[in-house]
Amino acid sequence: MTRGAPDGSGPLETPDVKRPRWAATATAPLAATGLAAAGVLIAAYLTATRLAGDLPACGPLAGCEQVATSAYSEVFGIPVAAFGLGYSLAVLVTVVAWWRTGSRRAVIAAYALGLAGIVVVAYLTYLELFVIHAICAWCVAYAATVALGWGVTAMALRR
Amino acid sequence: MPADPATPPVSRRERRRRERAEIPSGQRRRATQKSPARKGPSLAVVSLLAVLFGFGGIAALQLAAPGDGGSSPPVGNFLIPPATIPAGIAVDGESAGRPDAALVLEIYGDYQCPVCARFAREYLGRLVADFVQPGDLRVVDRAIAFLGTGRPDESEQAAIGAACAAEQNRYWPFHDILLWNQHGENEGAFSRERLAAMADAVGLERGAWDACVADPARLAAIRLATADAAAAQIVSTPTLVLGNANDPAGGERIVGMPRTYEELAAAIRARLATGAVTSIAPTVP
Repeated sequence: MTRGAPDGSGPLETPDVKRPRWAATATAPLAATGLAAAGVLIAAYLTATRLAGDLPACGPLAGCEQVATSAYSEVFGIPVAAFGLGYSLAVLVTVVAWWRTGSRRAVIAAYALGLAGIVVVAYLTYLELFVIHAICAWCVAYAATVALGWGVTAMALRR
Repeated sequence: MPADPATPPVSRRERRRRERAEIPSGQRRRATQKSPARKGPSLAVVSLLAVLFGFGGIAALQLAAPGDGGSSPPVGNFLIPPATIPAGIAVDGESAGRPDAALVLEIYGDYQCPVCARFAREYLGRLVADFVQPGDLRVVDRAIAFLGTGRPDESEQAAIGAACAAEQNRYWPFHDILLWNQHGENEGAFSRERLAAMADAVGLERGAWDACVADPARLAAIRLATADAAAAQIVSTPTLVLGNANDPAGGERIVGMPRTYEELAAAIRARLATGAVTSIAPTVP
């Protein structure tokens, strides 16, 4: 690329960086970052309410309380939401790295985290539907952020 | 900004055309092929490892919450909920509130009924704060059992356990722990072992409680209560009966959970406005 110096003294040569198409646009990493941030917020809310001994606000939808108080809401004494928070923070770090650096490794890391997350949230949704017999809207929203975030990374890797 | 006049600007398309012309055709074909590192085995391996990692998480979940047949809740794993009936409110067995309160709200419920649990968790605490604490309302819990299917029947076992907690004036803490720890229906949430662990958790004297729940008269009482409720056309839970002495029909019946708490509160306020004095006789022993 050829362009003039800011002071008009002459042309400056800057390298023409060749970037893959999936990294050439900021839309995908931004979308993935937004989804990961939403996941962090949801998981943080669920973790905070659990640690405070409260129940998540369900609004007109039922089921949050039953899911939040079920035997499956914690693993070895640690709230499942806390694991979700740690997971979402890890995803957020990788997608921000993707966004800021365009690193393919960061995309692959986010893709792998997303795929592992999908397996787990699919199982948790199965528990809600067929074992606990209640659906938690917060959990569904969280699962959606995981699935959509993974979809974004998968699409980026396909390009 | 003008470029050097000695070297006229070259468009990107032209530059690429020149670059392609400099590359032999064989190499050009290879250059346009996607790098094997971008797709293929590496991504497949990453995907496989990720899926395996996910299944590892599932295994951890199953290890942490096993249970019979993979669906029953662990005996000793349950939430200790906040008290629905705070200290300072007069409690007499299954009732809470001043004996001379202007209104009585009877709550018919099955301990395995998820909507009953929602009612207790979302509305009961607010009812207590708004009407029971000021002395306007007395709430009476009427446990019935019609959702149980197994042997032992978990609805009956839970109701008996609660009735025996009432013998030690600990009905409401036991009521709360039951409704906060449902686990589907007939899946072991109210197994004998889990109920005993709950009795310990709410501080019941276990010897007396064990003897109480083993008394066949307790089972007969809950079955009679269920039959009486059915005879009164109470066949859905929760069913609320809001009444007072001047009510010729014995009270206003609200079947199911009111859509909003405000609807229920408005009904109570409307009844309180009549200034009636309550004397609804218990329908369940």
